[in-house]
Amino acid sequence: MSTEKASTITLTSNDGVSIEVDRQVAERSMLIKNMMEDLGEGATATAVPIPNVNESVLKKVIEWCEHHKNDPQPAQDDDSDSRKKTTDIEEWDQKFMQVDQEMLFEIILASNYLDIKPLLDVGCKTVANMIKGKSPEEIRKTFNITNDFTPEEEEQIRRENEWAEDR
Amino acid sequence: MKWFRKKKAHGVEQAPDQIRNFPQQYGAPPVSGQLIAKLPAPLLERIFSFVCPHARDETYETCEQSAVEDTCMLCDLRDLAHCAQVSRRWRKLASNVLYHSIRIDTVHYCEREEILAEKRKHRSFMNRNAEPEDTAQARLRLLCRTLRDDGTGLSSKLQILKTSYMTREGSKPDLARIVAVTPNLRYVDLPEGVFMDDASCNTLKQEIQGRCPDLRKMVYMGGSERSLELLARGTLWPNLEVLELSQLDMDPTILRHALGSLHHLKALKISNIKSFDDQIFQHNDYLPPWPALAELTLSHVAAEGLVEYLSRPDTQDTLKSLSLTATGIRPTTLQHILATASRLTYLSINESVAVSFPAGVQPLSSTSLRTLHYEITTASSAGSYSNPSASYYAYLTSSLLSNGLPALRKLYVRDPGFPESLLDLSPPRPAFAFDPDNVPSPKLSPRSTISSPLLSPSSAYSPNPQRFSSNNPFAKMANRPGLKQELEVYSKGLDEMEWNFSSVQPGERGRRGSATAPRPVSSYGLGDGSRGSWAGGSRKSVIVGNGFGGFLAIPADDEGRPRSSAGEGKKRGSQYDIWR
Repeated sequence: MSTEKASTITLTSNDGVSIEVDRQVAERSMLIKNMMEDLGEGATATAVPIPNVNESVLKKVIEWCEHHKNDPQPAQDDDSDSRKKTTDIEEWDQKFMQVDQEMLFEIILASNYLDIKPLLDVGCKTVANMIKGKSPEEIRKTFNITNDFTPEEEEQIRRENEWAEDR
Repeated sequence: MKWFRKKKAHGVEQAPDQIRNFPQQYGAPPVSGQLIAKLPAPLLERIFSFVCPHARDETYETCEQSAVEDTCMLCDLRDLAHCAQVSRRWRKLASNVLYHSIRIDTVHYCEREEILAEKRKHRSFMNRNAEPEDTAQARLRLLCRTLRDDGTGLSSKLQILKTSYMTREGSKPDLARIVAVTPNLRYVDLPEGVFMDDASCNTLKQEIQGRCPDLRKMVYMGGSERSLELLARGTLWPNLEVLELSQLDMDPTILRHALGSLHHLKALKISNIKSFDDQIFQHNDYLPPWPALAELTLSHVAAEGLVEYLSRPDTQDTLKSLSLTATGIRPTTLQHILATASRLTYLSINESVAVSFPAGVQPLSSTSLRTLHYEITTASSAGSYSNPSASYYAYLTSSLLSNGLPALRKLYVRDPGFPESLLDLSPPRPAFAFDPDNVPSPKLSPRSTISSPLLSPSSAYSPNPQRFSSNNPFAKMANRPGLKQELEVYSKGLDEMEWNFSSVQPGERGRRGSATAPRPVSSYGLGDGSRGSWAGGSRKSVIVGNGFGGFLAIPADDEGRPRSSAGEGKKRGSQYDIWR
């Protein structure tokens, strides 16, 4: 059984680069894991196309999966469990996430597509930490978001959320 | 002067950013387009829920019990509200998160509170006693204004509303005005008066009854018998999941009707109801059957008909948690309950006993039970020379050592010496028992010794089964009955306030088990050597005067004693242990 697990899979990014990974590493992705289970052993021979992810992002995601390959698999209904967790990010993941914003959002999108919940959570927590402690204007600046409110709307929503402001 | 003050206030406001000090390594935003705009809505909502983790809280527990630790909930709330003010898209998505489950805390749990308290003193609006305003109450009022004025459907998003004790007791009218506009409310923290039909809470109670049909948790206390009758009609709160009843004085049949009309009931807590007796569990053709519950808590009721309740297959399969405090259910019937409730993972029994445990009761046996509170104390009515509770613990010990509770991981007992009893009191082996050392070798090859059916239970955990055929001195111990799992035992003496923790490890490779003895213990010169750690008479003691003319035996060196209750650091526990 263990020899079977050591087999490798080839993943192809959307810019046509093939990357060979251990099956155990690739199966951190629920998408690939389920695909492998559905297709059976024959599937390992052919390359798996990952149409939404480019080479650099795929390499980064695989790097994360390599480091976390021995983590226990999350339960299927882990949503209720993660509700209790706070926004702590372990040290290695923090370092891993020290990338530019473009890469950060690409990682989030890729982990969402590949269905790697723990990586998705690390990405979302990283963005959440960038939001925390900032004023709306500072948030806009951080993420380059244009303010599409009219002044009246802005006043209205400020009033609407006044109960949540510091006082 | 005014300018000066304003400037200062502004400077203070910037402080938390420096305190929280978020990583700035993400650099300047890229010039080309909005990357964050590419994120689909569910992902953005996920990010928002990490900004404010408690917005995903869906428990039906009070504000105090469901607090998220190591975070400042008011800061998280403010940050999420700021997200809603960023852009139109963010407003829509952040509002979904923000108005799903609201909790209003009284204070910031961070440095911010100090700064804000200082600011409040400088503010002009104070009440008549020149005290700063009650911020939680002010928040509740503003929330009320938002929900009532709003035309975008915020109020129908609200499912859970939690407020601190002082706020819910002090702002009943505001609560009533809020619940009047929230049709999908599932849980709201209510003042005690609502549960007792207190006149001061009439409006609030009526609003909840009339406007919140989807409520999931309700409590009825003494005085609210008449509104419980409303529940029996089956039109009020059909989706109720959690129900607490206490000190009610009412006809059991009405109670049965009320419970029978609640088809989604999952958890029930009943305490101090005099009319609640055996009959209430009995099957009756004219009454609806008991709902199948996942969680049942009984305290101070006389009923012992639980076995009858558990005779139905649907109740056996759903019951997961059972708590019994001072009920008619004796510890002797626990084995029946465990035998029938096949999914039970949590069992708590809190009982004081006056008579010793009868002989001949089957040991406790359950494959699902993970946590057991077995808190048996000696009743004051028992004679001063008898100690009936000891026999109950002996029963538990024998149940554990006979491996009747293999899934058990946590055990709470009211007997400080209990962890040691798991190691020292394993029942003696009968003289005719199978002895691996004396296997008639001509008949069996060494390998088939292992597969011998008599050995199989213990060989399952033995790392090197071949040892059985060698003259390994530990082999004798390997086959003895005993604890097979690692167990966390929390024990508490009668006069102690805190639980003392000790971890009981199963014996490995034929050694005896240990009870939290992290340092290596020398077994040099101890009896026959096969007994890993401290055996009966081999503990060295010295005799010292106890100050009252008598003598006490205390261990000569504290170093090597198996540490039962309390690890290092817990002074009280270890002191207690020495002078026991």
